[in-house]
Amino acid sequence: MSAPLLQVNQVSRWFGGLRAVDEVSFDLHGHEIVGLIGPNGAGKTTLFETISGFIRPTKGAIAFDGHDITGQPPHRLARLGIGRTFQIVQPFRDVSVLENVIAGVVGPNREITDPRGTAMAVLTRVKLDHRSSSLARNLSLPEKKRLEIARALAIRPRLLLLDEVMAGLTPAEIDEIMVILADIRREGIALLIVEHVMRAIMSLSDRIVVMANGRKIAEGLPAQVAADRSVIEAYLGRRHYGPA
Amino acid sequence: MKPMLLLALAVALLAGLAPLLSIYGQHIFVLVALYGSVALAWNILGGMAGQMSLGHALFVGAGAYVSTALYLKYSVSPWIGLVFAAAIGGALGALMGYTVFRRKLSGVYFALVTLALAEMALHIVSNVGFLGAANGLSIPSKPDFANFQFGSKLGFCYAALGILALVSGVILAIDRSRLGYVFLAIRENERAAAALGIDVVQGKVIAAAISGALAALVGPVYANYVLFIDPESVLGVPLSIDALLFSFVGGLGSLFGPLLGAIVLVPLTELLRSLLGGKLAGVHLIVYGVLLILVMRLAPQGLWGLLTAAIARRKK
Amino acid sequence: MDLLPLLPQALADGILLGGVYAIVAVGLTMTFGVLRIVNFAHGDFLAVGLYLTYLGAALLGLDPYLSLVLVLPLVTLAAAFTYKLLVAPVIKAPEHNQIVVTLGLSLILQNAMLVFFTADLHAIPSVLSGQIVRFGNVFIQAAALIASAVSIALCLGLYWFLRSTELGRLIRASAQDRDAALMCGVNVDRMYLLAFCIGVGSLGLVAPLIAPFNYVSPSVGSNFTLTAFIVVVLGSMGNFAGALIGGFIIGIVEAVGGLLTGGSINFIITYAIFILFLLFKPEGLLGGRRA
Repeated sequence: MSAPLLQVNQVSRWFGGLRAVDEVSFDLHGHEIVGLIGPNGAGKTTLFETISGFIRPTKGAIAFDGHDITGQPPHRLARLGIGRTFQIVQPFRDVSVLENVIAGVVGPNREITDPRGTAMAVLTRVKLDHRSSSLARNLSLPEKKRLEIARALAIRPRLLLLDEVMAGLTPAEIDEIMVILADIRREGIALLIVEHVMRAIMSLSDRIVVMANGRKIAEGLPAQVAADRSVIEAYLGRRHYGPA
Repeated sequence: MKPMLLLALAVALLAGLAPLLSIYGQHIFVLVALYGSVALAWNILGGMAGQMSLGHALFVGAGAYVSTALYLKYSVSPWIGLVFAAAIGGALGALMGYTVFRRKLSGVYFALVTLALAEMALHIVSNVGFLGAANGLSIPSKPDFANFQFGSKLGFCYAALGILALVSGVILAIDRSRLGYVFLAIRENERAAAALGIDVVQGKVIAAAISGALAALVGPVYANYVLFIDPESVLGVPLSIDALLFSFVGGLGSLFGPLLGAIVLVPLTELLRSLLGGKLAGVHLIVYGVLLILVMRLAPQGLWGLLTAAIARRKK
Repeated sequence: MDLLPLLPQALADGILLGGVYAIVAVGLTMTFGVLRIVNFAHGDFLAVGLYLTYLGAALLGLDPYLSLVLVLPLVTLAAAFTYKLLVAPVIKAPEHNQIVVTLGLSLILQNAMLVFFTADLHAIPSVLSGQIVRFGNVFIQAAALIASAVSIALCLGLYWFLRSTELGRLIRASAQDRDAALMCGVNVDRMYLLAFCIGVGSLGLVAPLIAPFNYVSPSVGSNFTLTAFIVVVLGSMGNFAGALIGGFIIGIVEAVGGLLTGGSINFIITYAIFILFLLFKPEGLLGGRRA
């Protein structure tokens, strides 16, 4: 097995007395889709923030492609190949969809011969090319979500962190996103997905990591994790767990 | 049509217009071009990169004093003085940007710091005899090309137009390049910008440096046109407010809105001043205040926005 | 050094100057420190108060300590109008809207006063004008002493108000988390209006108090505005005790600095302190709460 693309090693993040993330470790390999699930407040987004460089871990280390990236600023991680979307979509509202994506294309400061063309290609992949000249603020929510993904794709990531990208979408819209994600995976981009929409994340992911109260409580194949007692307890509470 | 070509055309047209104007018209031309340049320079930091400065007079004043002091004390030609002015303006902008933006200070704090820095500069210069202190520096009238004193107003029209063309050219160049997108992203959403690989602090520092350098170029031209500078005229709050005002009224979000603001407001101010002059001095400032509020509330895209909206409606 | 014997006087002057800065900054602590409203016209409301006081003296022969009864409500009314017309509409807009709108207001107020009253300096007569209190070799204006005492009382009063009263708690809740407060049934807009009126209206109290020892001119306000912001930042934003301490420190630095260097170097020191604090200790003197 090849060396992991991302290594999260005993990462902790404390806010005063609160242990938002408590000694979480897992690996992610290239071309993998790993799903990160857990009840609200489990620390999933905080973990995302540490991996993408927006928050510094209190303890522990993170390595990307063999290099230590702990505490590096977000823009440097983006240039190394870690892309992310935000839980609350953050498009550049007052410019066009195309300009949003071009910003992503040129952001990492690489030599790009045709930013416009490259951006249009990305928009085509997420099926937003017909809206390229619309202002971002005029998009519907599912369109904004797809723009969020497109912009993250534009930086040519090798690992894409998706933070609840399906929240607030109808089942049909969720299916659209799943098609896009499968397409991204086919291209060889690894995905780390935080999601509450169970059917989506269970069917997409190669492996699942479960968090609760800041700690990792389970890891494995989707089917394994779904049957895991501690996982069910974490979601539903002890009382609801039926006879062994 | 390529924007740079359009710019060249516009400059040529204006250059052809200047000799046809009356002496007073040429005076207005010079003022509009100079104030317009300061406003455009301000807008690079304020409108394009989204960081509002309340102390841009610092750069204009620095440029004016550096060039004038070098000329009066060391007989350095103001043509060279222009280069020094841009250098010091850029250095001040970069330094100010680096120290402030590294601390991740948000809008209001940045505005306050720029205001404090400009005021500091004003008080420092007012106490430095070498720079004329509060009495300022007078430049003896010795019309000569080498002294940057052209015999007629027309010469200054071309000089001011040259600065305007330079600033406009830089703005267009930024807009076409990656830097334009860096500024856009920083202005719209800093977190998202960082996630796209953009070094936000570096971007802001670059914006401040370019803005400062270009604003500083106006200083020497103004100094040699009026043949007198003092702390109040080139480092005072009114000049800083003018830069901000013309940009807002003209249109913050557009590239050349600030110039439009200057074109409308500079003649208006001169008119008000001549009509109401001594008795009701300050009325034009009341008008400024009202305009700021009106634009902010009713037409945030400024005159430029109103114009483009009107044209779009015509086309339908 | 023969400046030493002058030091106690400078210190005394500084403390009293600081008292004035503190009392002007207290109101800004409420509007900017607690509510996070940027009001660049803060000092100009003080000027308005001073001119009202002047009119009270010139037209009605009222001593400032008497016209206080009129000036305070008038300035508070002006504050209410300002909030409703200008501030409330842009309260949720990006910061620079507030900056620009209040800057516009400042221009209007200052120049309206310039047009009405001209740039002439006016002194306002009072029963306490020129009354000096003497402590050894140090001479202090009685009116300034009173103003300083009131500034301390005002700071403590507002601190107690925000901490211990129901209304104060509602204001703090509205400022801390607008949406949560709304969900609890708090009329957030009214709380903001109230707090803004207290903050700016307090200048209607300050103006008559400082009238006996301050000239009134259209630009007297703008001198105070920037310094008030500096004091609020120094005083850790929203911390009334901090504003008090910060005000006194700035006052002393300016007075002693003026003694030691002459000229307008004192302002330079103030601005330098401000910039240094923003760069190295933005949470202010009393730290903790992030700026």
